[in-house]
Order: sequence, then C-alpha cells, then structure tokens
Amino acid sequence: MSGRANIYPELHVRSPREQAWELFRKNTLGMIGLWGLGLLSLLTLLAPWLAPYAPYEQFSQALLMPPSWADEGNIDFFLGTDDLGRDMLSRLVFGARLTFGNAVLVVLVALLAGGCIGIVGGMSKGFKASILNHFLDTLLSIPSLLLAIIFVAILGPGLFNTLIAITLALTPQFTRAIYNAVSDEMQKEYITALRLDGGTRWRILRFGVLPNLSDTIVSQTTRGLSAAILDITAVGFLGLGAQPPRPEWGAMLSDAMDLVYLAPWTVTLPGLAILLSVLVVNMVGEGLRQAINEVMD
Amino acid sequence: MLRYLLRRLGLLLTTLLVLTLVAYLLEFKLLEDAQSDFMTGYLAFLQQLLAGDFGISSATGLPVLGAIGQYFPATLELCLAAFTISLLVGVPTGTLAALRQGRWQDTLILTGTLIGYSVPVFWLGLLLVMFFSLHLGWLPVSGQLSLLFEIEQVTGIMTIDTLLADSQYRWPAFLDAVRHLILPALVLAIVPTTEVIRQTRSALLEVLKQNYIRAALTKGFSETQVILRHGLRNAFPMAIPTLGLQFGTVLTSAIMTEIVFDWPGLGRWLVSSIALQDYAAIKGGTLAIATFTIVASSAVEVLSTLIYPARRRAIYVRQG
Amino acid sequence: MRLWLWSLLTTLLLAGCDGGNRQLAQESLLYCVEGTPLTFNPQLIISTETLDATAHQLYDRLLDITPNSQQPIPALATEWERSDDGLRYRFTLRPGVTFHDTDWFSPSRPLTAEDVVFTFARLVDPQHPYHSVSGGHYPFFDSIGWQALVSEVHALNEHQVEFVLTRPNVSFLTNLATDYAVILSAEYGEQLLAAGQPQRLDQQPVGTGPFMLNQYRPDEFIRYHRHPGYWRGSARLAQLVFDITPKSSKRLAKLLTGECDVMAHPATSQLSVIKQHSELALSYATGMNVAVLALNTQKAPFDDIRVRKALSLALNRTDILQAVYFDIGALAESLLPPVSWGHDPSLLMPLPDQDRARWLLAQAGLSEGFDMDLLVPSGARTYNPDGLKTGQLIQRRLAELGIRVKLLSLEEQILRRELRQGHQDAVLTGWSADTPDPDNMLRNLLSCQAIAAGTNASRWCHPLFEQQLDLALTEPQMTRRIGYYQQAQQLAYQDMAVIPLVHSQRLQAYRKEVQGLRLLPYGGVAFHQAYKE
Repeated sequence: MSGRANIYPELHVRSPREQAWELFRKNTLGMIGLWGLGLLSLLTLLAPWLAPYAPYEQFSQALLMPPSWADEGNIDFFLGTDDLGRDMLSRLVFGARLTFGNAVLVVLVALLAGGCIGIVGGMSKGFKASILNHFLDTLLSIPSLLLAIIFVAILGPGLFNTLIAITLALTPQFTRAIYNAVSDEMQKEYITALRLDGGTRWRILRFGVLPNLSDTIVSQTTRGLSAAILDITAVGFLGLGAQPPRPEWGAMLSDAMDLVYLAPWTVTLPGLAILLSVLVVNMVGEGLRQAINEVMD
Repeated sequence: MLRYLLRRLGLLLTTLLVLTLVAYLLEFKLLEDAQSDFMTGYLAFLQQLLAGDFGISSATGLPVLGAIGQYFPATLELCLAAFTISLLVGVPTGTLAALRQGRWQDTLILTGTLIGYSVPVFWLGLLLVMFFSLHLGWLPVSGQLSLLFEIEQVTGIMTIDTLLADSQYRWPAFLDAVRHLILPALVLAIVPTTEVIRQTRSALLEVLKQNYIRAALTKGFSETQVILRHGLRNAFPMAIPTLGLQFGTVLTSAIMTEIVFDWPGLGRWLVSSIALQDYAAIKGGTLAIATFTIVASSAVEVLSTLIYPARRRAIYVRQG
Repeated sequence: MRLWLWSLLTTLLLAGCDGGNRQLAQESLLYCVEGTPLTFNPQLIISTETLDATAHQLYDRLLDITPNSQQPIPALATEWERSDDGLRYRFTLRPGVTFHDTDWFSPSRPLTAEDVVFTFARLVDPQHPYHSVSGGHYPFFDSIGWQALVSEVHALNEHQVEFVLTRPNVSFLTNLATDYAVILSAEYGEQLLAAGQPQRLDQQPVGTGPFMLNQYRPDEFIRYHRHPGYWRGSARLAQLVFDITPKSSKRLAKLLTGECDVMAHPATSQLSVIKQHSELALSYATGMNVAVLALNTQKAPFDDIRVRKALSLALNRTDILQAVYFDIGALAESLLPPVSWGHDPSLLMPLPDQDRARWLLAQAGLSEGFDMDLLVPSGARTYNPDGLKTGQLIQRRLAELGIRVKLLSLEEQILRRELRQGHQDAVLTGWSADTPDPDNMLRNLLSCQAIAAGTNASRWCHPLFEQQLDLALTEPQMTRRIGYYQQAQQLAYQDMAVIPLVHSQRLQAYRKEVQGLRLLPYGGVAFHQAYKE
C-alpha cells in the first residue's frame, strides 16, 4: 500500500485510528497517564538494574530509617527502610514486578482465553450462544475479588494461586465484552454482504470482525488491568496472596500495619504505589475511550 | 412483561443453581471424598441447603446458618448507607459537572472520580482512620457500636436496634452507632459515587440534547429549572440501574471495608473463616454473599424496568 | 439544608464527648485482646489467649500462688495436708462459695467436695460422662502425665476432698494452682447431661470467679458481668468487656481514642509511641517464658544433630532481639529464664558462625542446602510478639546456607492441630510458664508425653531427660532438685533438642484512669480489684 503513489496528496483521509490517536494526544491527563504507564513498565522490566539493593537484603544497622528528606533520614536509603532494615525503594521497585507485572500477565492470559471463547461464541447462534450467555451472566454476577478469594480458599494462599484465581475471575469479563462486540458486529450489513458473497467463516472473522474489535480490546484491557492490580493487592492485603517477605505491594502494606504509628512511610508508600499505578492505567483507559467515542460520533 | 419477568426469574434460578454447584465443588475438592458419587452427593447437598442446613462451623461449633443471619444485617446496613451516600453526593455532583461541561468544575469533578475509582479501598480506610479518629479524635476507630452498650439484636442493623432497645442509653447508643457507621460507609461509598457521578453526567448530557429540553428552554425557563424539572427526572432512570450493576463491586469493597473497620459483617467473617480453615463457614459465607449480590442486582434491574416504561421498550426491542 | 446538616454533624461529634453515658463508662472496663477464646473451659487448651479470657475471670482454683515466694496459698481450699508417704492430699473447702447464677443455670447449692471430684474425675476417668466431651484432650494435664499420677479423687464429706497419687510428686500443689486447674460445677454438669447437651459445659461456662459470662460473639467480644456473690467480695466493675482485636495497630488506635481501657500485647515497636502519650501507662512483668525454634527431630534432615547444630549457628539471635523485640527481653541461653531457680548459668548458646554452620551441613551431606517449611503463629504471642517477622529474619540467614525456607503463618487453632499431627519440619513456638516450677516448662516443651499433646514440637524424646525430670519431682531436697533440672537442660542442650531464642517481657498498656489492675505472675490479668478514677 505504502509503495503506491498517492494521487490526491491533499485529500489524505485519516483512518479512525489515526484520528483517535490525534485526539488522545490532545488529552493532557491521558498523556500523563501514558508516560506514567511507560515509566512503570520500564521499572517492571529493569527492576534488578534500577533498584539500589536486593529486595530481601536486611541491614540490621539501619532499622526503620525514615525517608531521606526527613531529619534522621539517610540518602543511602532514599525512601527509608522497614523494621527488618530492608530498603523501601528497592522493595517497591521489585514490588512493581510482582504487582504490576503480574497484573499485565494475568490480563494478557485472560484476554487470550476470553477472546477466543468470546469470538467463537459471538459467531455462533442459537442454543450454544444462549448457554454461553447464561453461564457468563452467572459468573459475572459474582464479583471478581470474591471469586478470587474463593479460589484461594480452595487452592491455598500464595501468589501463584492468587494469579490463577484472578485470571479465572477476569476471563468472563473479557469473554462477555468480546462476545458482545462480535455479535454486534455480526448483525451489521457489510458482514451480511460478506456472507452473501460466499465468504467463509474464517474470512468473515479475519476481514470483517477482527479489525473492528480493537476498541473493545483496548478499553477492556485497561479496565481489566486496573481491576487486576486492585485485586492482587487486595488479596495480598488479606494475607491470602503473596506471602512475606515477597514485596508485593498489598502484602507489604498489611505486613507493615503494626508500624503505622512508628514508621508511617512503611504503610503510605506501598499504598501510594498502588494508587499511582491504578491511576495511570485508568487515565490512559479513560483518554482512549473518550477519543474513540468522539471519533465514532 | 410477564415473559420478561419469567425469563429474569429463570436466569436468577439457574445462576443460583450454578452457585451451589461451585460451592459443592469446593466441598468435594476439600473432602477428597472419592467414594461417593458426584451427582448423588450434589443432590444430597442441594437437599440439605433447601432444608436450611448449611452445616456446622468447625471454629465455633454453631450452625453456619445462624452465623449468616447474624452477620448479614451488618453488611446490609453498611451497603445501604453507602448507596444512600453515593446517591446524595453523586447525583448533585454529576448534575453540576454536566451543567459546567468542559469548564474547570467539570474537569475537577472528572479528575476526582478518576482518583476515587483508582484508590485502593483498604488504604483509603487506613488513611481516614489515621486522620479522623487518631489525629482529630472525632470518630471511632472500628466496630459497629461501642461495646459499653448492651443492645439486644433484633434486626441486626445497629442504627435500628439501638432505637428499639429498651435501655436508658437508647439515644447515646444510637448516636454512637451512627458515628461508627460514618467512616466505613464513606469509604464504601467512594466507588459507587464515582459511578453515579459519571452516569448522571453522561445521562444528563444526553437528555439535554433532546428536543423537549430545547423546547422548554425556548419557552423561557431558566436552565436550572429545566434541569431540575425535566432533565434529572429523565436522567435518573439511567443512573439507577448502574447502581444495580455496582452491587457486586460494592460487596467486594465491603469485604475489604469490613476488615479495615472490624465491621462485624459477612465479608470479615468469610475471610477469618478462611484463616481458620473453617470450610462449612467458607461455603456458607460465599453462598450468602454471592446470593445477596445476584438477588440484589436482579431486583434493581427488575424494579427499574417496572418503574420506567422507557426501559421496558428497550427490552422488547432487544427480544424482538 | 446546610445548616441542618451542620447541626446534625456537630451533635454527632459532640455526642462522643458528652456525659450521656459517663456512668456506664465509669462502671465498665474495655479490654482489647489479641485472640478469641477457643473454649470457656481452660482444662481443654493451652492457648494463653483463652486462659487470659477465662481462668481468672470466670473461675477459681483450689490454690493460688504468691507472686514472690512462689508458694501455694489458700483459694477455694482453706487448708490442706499431705500424708507422710506423699501419696495422699486432703483439702478442706471454703464454705459458702457460690456459683454464677446465669440465664442458663441457677445453682441450688454452694461449692462442695462433689464439684471438685466432678472437675478432676473428668480428666482421669475414661468412664466419666464428660471425659470425651469436646474432644477428650486435656493437653496440659496430658503432657504432665496427670492421668498416670492421680489414681483417685474422692469426697470425704461435703467439705473435704482427697486426691490419691500413684507416686510422690513435689509439684502437685503448684499444678493445682495453675490456670488449667479450675473448679467447675457438678450440679450444672448433671443438668446439662439430663438435657442431653454436655458440650455446653465448655461453651456456656459456670464458675465461681469474680465475673460471669453474659454474652459472647466469636471474633468480636466477650461481655462479663460482675458476680454479685463472689466470695472475695463483689468486683468494683459492673461489666468487663473483652474486645477481640487481632491487629495490634488497631488495639493501640482504640487505646488512644479511649475505645479500649487496657490493651494486651502492645507491639514492642509501639512502646515509644505509648510513652509519648501522657494519658497512657505501661506495665512490665518479667516473663517466665521462652521463644524457641523447634526442629522436628523425628524427620529428616532434622533428625541429624549436625543439621540442628548448623541451624543454631546460623541464626543471629541478637538481630531477632533487636528487630522483633526492640530489645525488650533477653537472649535465651537455655530453656529456663535466669529468674527461674532451675536456670543453669553454665549453658551458653554459641555465637553465630556461618562458616562452621556450612561445614556442619557439608558433613551431613547437605552442602547443596534443602527446602523446609517453617510454621509461624499469626499474631502476637506472649513469648513472641511477631512470629512472621522472626521467621523472615531466620529465612534470610538460612538462605545464605542454601536452605530455602517457606514461611507458613497459621492461626492458633490450626497451628496446634498441625503440631499434634506432627508432620511439620520446624515451627516457631515457645512456652509461658504456668507455675514457678521448672518442671512445667521442661516437661511441656520436651517430654515424651508432650509429643502427643503437641506442645513438644521438636518431638524429641530422651529417656535420660525423662528420668531426670521424674527424679526431680520425687526429690524433696531443693539443691538436688536443681541439680536434676540442670542435668536435664544440659542433655537437651547437647542434643540441640530445641533452639532457644529469647525470653520476652510481658507488657500491658492501659489508660491512666484505670486503677487496681493486677498482672498475674504466670499470665493473664486480674480485674477483680480494677476500677476507674
């Protein structure tokens, strides 16, 4: 395509995707969110090189050191240390892997699984679709965190089990969203035209349905990502998820509860990390949804 | 209409049936009871449930059903209080945002909802306790009522029970119950409030485009009058069902809120049962919370359909 | 609208400071505790939380122990005599002691010998209708071999009761003064048996103590009312409420806002905060306790003494004392703390030495390291304020030797069950002494009988150790008894039967208006004399 010369250079018709991106770039909050998300991803990928210390290293000479800007703080421990003398900054950086990194992983798996079921279900009709519909309604009526807690109750506490549980809890949401998008798409006239043209199911899927799913996928992914972060940390906070000494943010917070008077930073910092990471995800999601909606209008 | 109601009821029943299946799987997996046949076991389990037998808690030695009855009202009280707050705060704020669309008030409110939507409930609870209870000393740290008061449990909803109580401390106890309710209800209200704000705002914006609003405006009514008389009335039916959909989210946050504030509800009981490996209680608690969510959200949906005919039409269209 | 809202708000806020319920607050005491009681009958458990909530509030014992001279003194028994052969003990009961009159039981008669017989026969007689009610386990009595020791308990008349022993035992009287040896009502037992609900005996208690149960909500609170006819004189408090709040941060928050009057187990990290608040006070008591790391000596690789020695060398106990106990306590060199008369000053734990630990592991063929599970109690214990934190410190040290430790934090009930089953690799546990007698600590932590009871978590059983303990019990002469106990400790030390960590101090924080609290020497608090200014 690109190799072909444009005969009407002044009439460059921008694709909806380009338009949406244009609109998104004008959205300050969305852009801040995107930068934040990029930074967070970088932190997650490069944690071992960015963190000053290992997350489990205990400095018995520096217990409960306040953050460096406080009077008794020390620049060696920029965000202070916890009650076992572990560097807060390093733990938070490695925690990004456990909390944010795992959330991304969970969402990808849920997207893949939910996407497949959703597409198959959305393209079929009648009895099969009806069964899927009812089943999804059932699963969706149980809150994802509750589902996660139940699964952990069966499988036993631990980070890996939590991840499985949250994946299982998120998959129906992806299935539902993609199922709806696909079956909406299937009602459209150009699909009917494709079918009348004798297009195979695969052809309909490849050229008719898939290209129009990206909006749904993007908005559902950001929604799922923020839900996954909140659920992982919530289960961690309940003591059912990542077990100490792993620096998962929710588990760190619950581990530090007794220190809240003596060393408030051990509680506020992990909470802030959770808030910020969910916030940047939601900012990006919100910006994208707005942009896409405006283009559609 | 009848067809819709029957369909809805059918869906509700299947959902509940699937739930019992999940609960049974939980038990089946835990007991590793390979001898008994799965299907017969499940049917026996259903029979037990129908007879009201939820088993005996291994931690307390008491029937699980009794515990559910004891903890459920507290959760209900908390959720109702949160919903009331979210409507009282959310609808006016959403209206304001819609009226000032695109201006700084709107941006501020929308940013606020974005933050409210992103904050982890348990952390927010901790911060509020630190500030309002410890720093200012205004509100109690946790619990449903000061343990000084001896209040007989009638409904289990403390704000009602204190008033019903035959005690000379009726009023102080009632005020104390309200003071205990404020912080957890506020924390729990955060998520539904942001949702109500967004829904009210977008519904109003939608309504404001309609011809009858324009007509009213051209008749010379002030914008505020129009909004209050026509706009909100038509925007409300769109906001209410979102509350129904929020029920699941609210109940989940209720689990966390109950733990942070030691609120004696179903969620806290469920989580402590997990720590105690009290499987009968886990099963009962899960069933109770999930049933509550499903029944409540279906009820909201059916009610809003019954009250607002416009939604009814939408259903017929979908069915056709 | 706004005005209305503000006035409502101010009313609500002021209600907290208002005197509407001042009288009620004056007569009530709120005690924030860590855990929910597992039962209301102390005979059935060894959990300190349960003892704290029941033993001294609901019940009395035949004897008490003086805190200073550690001698038995009269309680429900006014006098006692021992036969010359040391096999018979005869107790005369206090007249006119009344049981609680509650919603579920109205006593028709005061305490008699029948009640004492009922109480103790349950423990020893398998034919007793109550013996197997509530599980049939009596961990404390099982681990000290009570069943083999007491052959008979019978009433001589209404006011006299006689215990017949199979062999002389010098700690018999102190054992009768422990929190476990409470006296129950035989009349109540009969009533429940007739009603076909014997398990209620342990759930809806009836005792003779200063307070009686009014209301109990598991995991939430226990409400006691004063027992008006208490034989020592009715308590000054009209009601005593145990507020069950597992997180110590929340207990402190409640203490600060006045939602609690007394707080159990303040975290050591909170002491500096408590000291900053002038309205709060702290009381310390040297604890007769020890926190230990118990390795399962019946399970590979911990059955190898070289592995146990290596682990003991790997730990840095000073770090634990500093980070977990905030230096409130002392390093434990052996099981018995220095305040105990059985303490052996010659025993000293080796200093941390990772190289030697590595060498020992290599000798045992484990230079590659191994995986192990470490069970830790969730929440605070008298002997260990934070098991999980201790576990993390140990985990870190052992990681340097290639030992991969998985921490499992368990609730008390679950932990005790696991220990009774005995499949664990290792556990962070400990013991708080119930009596001044060294026998109490050594026997519960390391005797062969205590394996089945689950208190001997290292499952170490040594005939010689057993022999020393038995000899000490029949030996009336003090210096020889001390000698036996020291030898027993040396045996345990040589075999590294258990790794002692720290002797902790018992702490209690309370609001200054609370007066008359008495920290009991062997655990628990007595509220009988407490009042508010």
